[in-house]
Amino acid sequence: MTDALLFFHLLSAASLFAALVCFSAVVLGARLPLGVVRTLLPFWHVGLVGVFLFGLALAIDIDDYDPWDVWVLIAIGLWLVAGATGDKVPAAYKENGGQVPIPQAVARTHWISVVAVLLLLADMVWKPWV
Amino acid sequence: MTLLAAIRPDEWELPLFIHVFGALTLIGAVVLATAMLFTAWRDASAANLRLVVRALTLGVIPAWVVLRGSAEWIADKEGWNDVDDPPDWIDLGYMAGDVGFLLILLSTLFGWLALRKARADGSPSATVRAAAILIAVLLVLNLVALWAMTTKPG
Repeated sequence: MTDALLFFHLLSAASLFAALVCFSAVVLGARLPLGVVRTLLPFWHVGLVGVFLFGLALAIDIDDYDPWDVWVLIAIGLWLVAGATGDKVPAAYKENGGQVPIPQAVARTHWISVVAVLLLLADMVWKPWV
Repeated sequence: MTLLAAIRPDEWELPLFIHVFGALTLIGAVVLATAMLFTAWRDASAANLRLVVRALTLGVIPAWVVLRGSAEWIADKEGWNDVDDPPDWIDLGYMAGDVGFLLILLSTLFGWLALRKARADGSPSATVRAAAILIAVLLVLNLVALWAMTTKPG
């Protein structure tokens, strides 16, 4: 059970990264087809929901961890930051008619989501205050 | 596994972080390359094929280097390099990594050949279809490796 939950937790993280790589390419100036960027947007949403649900299930399932552990609460905070900032690029790119560069403010918001996701990954590995 | 996570020494954590980061970035870059290759399958314009080659050379290959280098680092830290008969999930990981690199090289070569042909005469090339199929196989291989790393069969 734990192994299956961990697999789906990481599969969701991979889905999140697929969208992040695509959006980062646009922010860095790659003129990707609008259809590809739109296709990758559901990867972001599915990944975001998946990492939360399977992560919470893991924290409940594993005896050594609890959902109210500090590292889990930090993860939820970072997840909220990533969720609030991560899906702005496709809309801005569409508004721009599939042209780069996208507005600076949207690019900045995107990099905040990248940092939040990387900190989330670091939190998962180091698990502070366990 | 829960026990392993609980007793994991601190010195394993940096290579583990880099390894997981490399693996997730590789899958992300492969998904983007797959989407671009299937777009180029329908519309083999030079612009689409240039993006394919860039996704492979600037995204997939560097992510593979990070994944493979950190795999070696963490295998060394965990002592798997000294084991004569490692468990199946270690073998599967190495197989996915090494066969995967061959698939990356071939799809990059085929993508580049298709780009050259599109630039020369603007006509679509069969090599773009070959590259799309190879990169889709790589994506499946990476997902199997992800399953093996998390469920640790054998």
